[in-house]
Amino acid sequence: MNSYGKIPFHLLFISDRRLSDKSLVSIVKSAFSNGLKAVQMREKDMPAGDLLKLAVKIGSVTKKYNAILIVNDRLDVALLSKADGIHVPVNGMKIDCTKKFTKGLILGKSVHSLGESVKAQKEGFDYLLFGPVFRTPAKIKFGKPQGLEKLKQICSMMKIPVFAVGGITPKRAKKCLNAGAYGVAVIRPILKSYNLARTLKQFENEMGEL
Amino acid sequence: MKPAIGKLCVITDTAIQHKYSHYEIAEMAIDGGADMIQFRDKVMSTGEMINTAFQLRELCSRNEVTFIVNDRVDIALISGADGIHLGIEDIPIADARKLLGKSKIIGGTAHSLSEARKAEQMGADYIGYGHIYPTQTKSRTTKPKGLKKLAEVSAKIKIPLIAIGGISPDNAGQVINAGAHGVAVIGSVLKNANPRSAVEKLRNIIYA
Repeated sequence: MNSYGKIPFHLLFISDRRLSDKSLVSIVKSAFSNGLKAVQMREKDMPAGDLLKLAVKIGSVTKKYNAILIVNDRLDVALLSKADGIHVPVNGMKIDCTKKFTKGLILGKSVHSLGESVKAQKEGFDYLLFGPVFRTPAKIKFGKPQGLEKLKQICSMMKIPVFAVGGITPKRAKKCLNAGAYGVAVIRPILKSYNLARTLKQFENEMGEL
Repeated sequence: MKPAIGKLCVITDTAIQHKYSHYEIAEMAIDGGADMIQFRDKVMSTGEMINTAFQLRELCSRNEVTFIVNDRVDIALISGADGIHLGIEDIPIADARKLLGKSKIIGGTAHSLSEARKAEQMGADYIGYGHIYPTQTKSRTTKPKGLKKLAEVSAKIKIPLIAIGGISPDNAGQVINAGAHGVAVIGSVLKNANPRSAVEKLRNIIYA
């Protein structure tokens, strides 16, 4: 069980610093000051030493704003940066052999099917990231998006929160919530925004809360 | 008690060759007399790495061989490895110690005396120093260190030094005589037609 009870965010920002000219720390600061509540650090190409330094920096920002830091894949970096959670990709660590190290952490898991969702819920994950729901540049190589119907089906069968990911815009975020999603996860809408205050306001307007 | 720091470490590299898996390399190496196995993979997913690490952990335990994971402190922790080897760009030694505790081995890479001293100060249990001779396993722009520098570094640090880079049965004797505690090998073993006997030759020299 994580130390947070209910997942305290509905809009999850997943990072990819290569998509922006600005520093990730400055983007995160600006996003948090405009109402964002959670970031998942996913910087796959970074050596672990740099990744840890960046996670510590971002962690100090999340603490200041009382927001949530989730680290992708690397449990060592998550633990050392005192992150709030760890996100496990599809080919990530098995949770059964890691439970004694993940106490108190929010545990997220990427899933692409109902079968994977059922399994992840059973294993004790706190939330699921399901997608790609819509077409997205990052996942084009994996073929057709999953669509809202499939999202709806999975949400109706899960007890734990499901976040929709892939091609999410403010309008589509609302559709995902209507389909039963607890929240949505986005990369480009934050990293490519010219006006984070406006972007986040649009999400808030459609979603009710961030 | 902390496990022994091996004198003959074989690094399971599946990037420079595709003939053998990590497990097969470890089996051949142990069969030939290696006393330390370092699991290194820069492309595997975390899930695959954990599965492989558990298998290697079991193989090494059964043969009383020290098992070290490269870079991934989390995987060392989860698999119950004997320790971790950290490169210059990896998680700092002092941070790895926080997660692994005193009972695990932490090795740090050094390419100079100052890096070796820094690793020692941060609490490393051994230094991986090199490259001693020319090597093709990693593309190097720097010159090989040679025996003289190896002797200097090993004399000036208190923790064991494991020499790496271009080490083969032809030069392993000199490396040990220059003050190295042991050697780590990849290419000279894995590119040999008979890796097991290549390890055995090294074993006979190092334990002579």
